[in-house]
Amino acid sequence: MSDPNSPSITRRGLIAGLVAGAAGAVATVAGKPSALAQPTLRPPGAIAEEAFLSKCIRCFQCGDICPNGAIVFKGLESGLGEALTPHIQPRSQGCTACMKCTQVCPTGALEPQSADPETVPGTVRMGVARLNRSMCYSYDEPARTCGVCYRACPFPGKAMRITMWERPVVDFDQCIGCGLCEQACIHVPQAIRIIPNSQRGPA
Amino acid sequence: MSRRHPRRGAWLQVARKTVQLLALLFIVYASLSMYWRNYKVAHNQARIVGLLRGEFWGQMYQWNEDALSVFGDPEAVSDGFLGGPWAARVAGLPLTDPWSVAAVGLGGHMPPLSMLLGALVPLLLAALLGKVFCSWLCPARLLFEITGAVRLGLLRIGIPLPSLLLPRVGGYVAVAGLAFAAVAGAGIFHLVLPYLVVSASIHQLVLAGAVGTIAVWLAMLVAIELLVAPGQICRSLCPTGALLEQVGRASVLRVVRTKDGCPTSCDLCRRACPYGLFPARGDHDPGCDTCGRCTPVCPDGRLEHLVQLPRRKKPAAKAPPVAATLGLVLAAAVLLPSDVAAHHNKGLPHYGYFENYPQVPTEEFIRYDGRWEFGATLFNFQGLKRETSDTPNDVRIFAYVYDLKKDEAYEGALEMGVELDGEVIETFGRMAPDEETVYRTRVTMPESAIYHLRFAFTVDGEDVLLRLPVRVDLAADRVNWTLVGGMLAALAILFGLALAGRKKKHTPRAAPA
Repeated sequence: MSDPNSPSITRRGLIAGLVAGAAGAVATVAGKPSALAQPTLRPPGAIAEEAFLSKCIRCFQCGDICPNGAIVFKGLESGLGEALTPHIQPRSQGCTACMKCTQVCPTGALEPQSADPETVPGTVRMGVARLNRSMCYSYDEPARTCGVCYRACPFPGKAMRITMWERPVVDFDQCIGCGLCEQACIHVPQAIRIIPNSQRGPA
Repeated sequence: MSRRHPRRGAWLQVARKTVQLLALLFIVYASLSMYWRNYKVAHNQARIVGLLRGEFWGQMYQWNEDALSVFGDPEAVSDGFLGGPWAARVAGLPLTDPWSVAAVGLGGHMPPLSMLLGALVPLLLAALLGKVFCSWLCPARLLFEITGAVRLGLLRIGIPLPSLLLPRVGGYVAVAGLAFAAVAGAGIFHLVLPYLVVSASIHQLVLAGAVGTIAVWLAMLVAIELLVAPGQICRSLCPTGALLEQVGRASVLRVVRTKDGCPTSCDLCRRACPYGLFPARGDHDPGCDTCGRCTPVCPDGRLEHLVQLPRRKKPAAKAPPVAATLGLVLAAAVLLPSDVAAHHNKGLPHYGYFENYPQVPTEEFIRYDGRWEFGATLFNFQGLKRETSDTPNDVRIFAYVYDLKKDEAYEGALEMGVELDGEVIETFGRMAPDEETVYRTRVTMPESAIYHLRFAFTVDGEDVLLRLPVRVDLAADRVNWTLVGGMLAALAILFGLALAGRKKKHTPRAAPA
C-alpha cells in the first residue's frame, strides 16, 4: 500500500506542519475568553479546580462506575484544557453519594472518600445548595406546600431540614452539593440550585 | 516450498484479530456497564429493564448478571472493569499508560503508587514482547486495519488514492507532548494518542448517548488513514509506538527471515506490512510490531514469526540515546514535579436540551462578586429556521441578582445595560423584577460577540455596579463552514503533497549495510 520509494514529505516539513497545526488548534481554542468561566460541579472528592485539571487524566473510569449515570464528560467545545473532564449536571442527574468514583480514580484527582452516610455530610463537599426563597412554591404566600427537594435529599434532617408548609432550610455545613434537590425541583428555573465549590463566594 | 508456514501465519492473524476485537469490546463493555449498574441499583430485575428498554436489553442485563455472578457478587465484580487503554481496571487490576504517568508527573503531582505499578505492566510487556500492544490490543490499529481494507476496495474499483509516506516523528510528538505537560501543567496526550481518541469517542457515545465533539478528531484520523496516508499514524506519528519501539528493542518476539536467498524482484512482504517495512531484508526491525501479516504471504515460507533472543552483534546506531532520553524524561516527570498551573476556559453547554425543549436556554452565565451572585440566562432560539425569523438577532435575557449576605434575591429597582467593547449599546430600567425575582428583557444584538451585562442599583445607600460577561452566539445553529473548509483544505494539501510525491521517479532502495 504505502510506497517506500516515494518519500514526498521531509521530516522537517512534517514537524513544521505539525507545529503549525498544533499552534493553530491552541490559538483557536485558547481564544475563548476565560471571563465566561461557568461554575463546574466536579464529582465528589475532587481536589481544587486547577490541580484537578492537571491531575485528571481523562480516563473515564469515574463515569464508567457511576451507578447513577450522573458523571458526564465535557467535549472539545469546552476548550482543550477542560475537554473530556468529568462533571455533574445536577439538573439532568444528581449524585447519589456512593463515592465509588473516588475509589477508582487512578490519579487521586478525586480523593478517596468513605461512603458511610454517617460521615459523608460534613466531610464531602462538591458544592452547596442555595435556595431562592422567592421562587420556591413552599415559601409563597399563601404557601403551596411542595417539599420535593426535601424528599430528594439523601441526608434529610442533616443537610436539609423542613419547616412549616414544607419550607426547606439548607444546612450549609452538612450539605454535600449532590444536586438531587436541584434535579427534583419542580420550579423552572430551579428555585434550589447547587453552587459548586469553585464558585462559592464569601457569604 | 512449505505449506506449514502460511497456515500457521493465517491462524495467528485470526487470533490477533480476535484479541483486537476483544480489546475494543472491553471499552464498549466498560462504558455500557454503567447502565447495567444503574439498573442493578435502581431496579435489580431483568423484567423491568425489559419493560423500560426492550426485551433485548432485559436479556443482556440478565446475561451480564449471570456471567458476573460466576465470579462473586455481580456488582463488585462489575466494578472491576472500567476505562480504556489510557487507564483501565481489568478484573480489578489497575493498568495505566506510561504517558499518563508522565502527564500527571509533569503536571506537578506525584502519581500514586498503584498508578506507577500499573504503568510498569505495559512497559514490561513491551520489554519482553516488543510492540504487541500495537498489534494485538490497540483499538486504533484495529480501526485503521478496517480503513485499510476499505481503502483496498476503493482502489480496486478504480478510485485513485494517494499513499503518502510520512517521516517517523513519533519521538518528537512525545517530546512535544511532555513539554506541553510541563508548561501548561496538564497533559495533552489524551487528545493526541489515536487509541485514546477512539476510546474517548466510544465513552462519550455510550455514556452521553450522543456523538461527542471528540468524534470530529476521530473522523479526521480515519480520513487521513483511509484517503491519504495509510499506516502512517501508527508508524510515524504515534508517540506510544515510538516509546514501545525503544523499550522493546531487546524483545524476544520477532519476525525473522529463516532462509536466505530472497529473489530481488519480490516485495510481497513489504506490501503486506502496514508500516512499509521490508522483513525479507533479514533482521528484525525494531519498528515491527510482529503483527505477522507478512509471514503468510511469503511464497517460500522464508519468514518466521518466532520467539528468539535478539542477536547481540548489531546494536542500533542511534537508538540507545533516544531510549535513554525518553527514560530520563519519564523519570524527571515523576521526580521533578513542576508548579505550573493549567489555564482553563470553559463554557457550560446548555442543559437538558431535549427534556427542556420549549425553554432551550442557549447559555447561562453566573458570577460572584463579593456579597453578590448575579446571573443571566440567554435564549436566542428563533424557531426552527433563523433565516425565516423576523427578528433573527433578538436575544431574550433573564437576569437575577442574589444577595449572599442577606441570603435573599435582590428585588429592588435595577438599571441594566448591555455593553459591547466598553460601549453601552442598550439600557433599560425596572422598578421591580418582571416576574418573581427575574428581570426580563429582549435586546436586538448587532453581532455574535462577548457582551457585558451591567447591573446598577443602590442598596443600603450604597451604589453597586456589577458586570457580567456573556457570550452571544447568533450563529450557534449554523454549520461552521470555516471549520469544515479548514479541514478540507488540510486534506487537500496532504493530497497535493502526495500526488507531487508520486510523480517523483522511483529510485531503488539501497541494499542494507
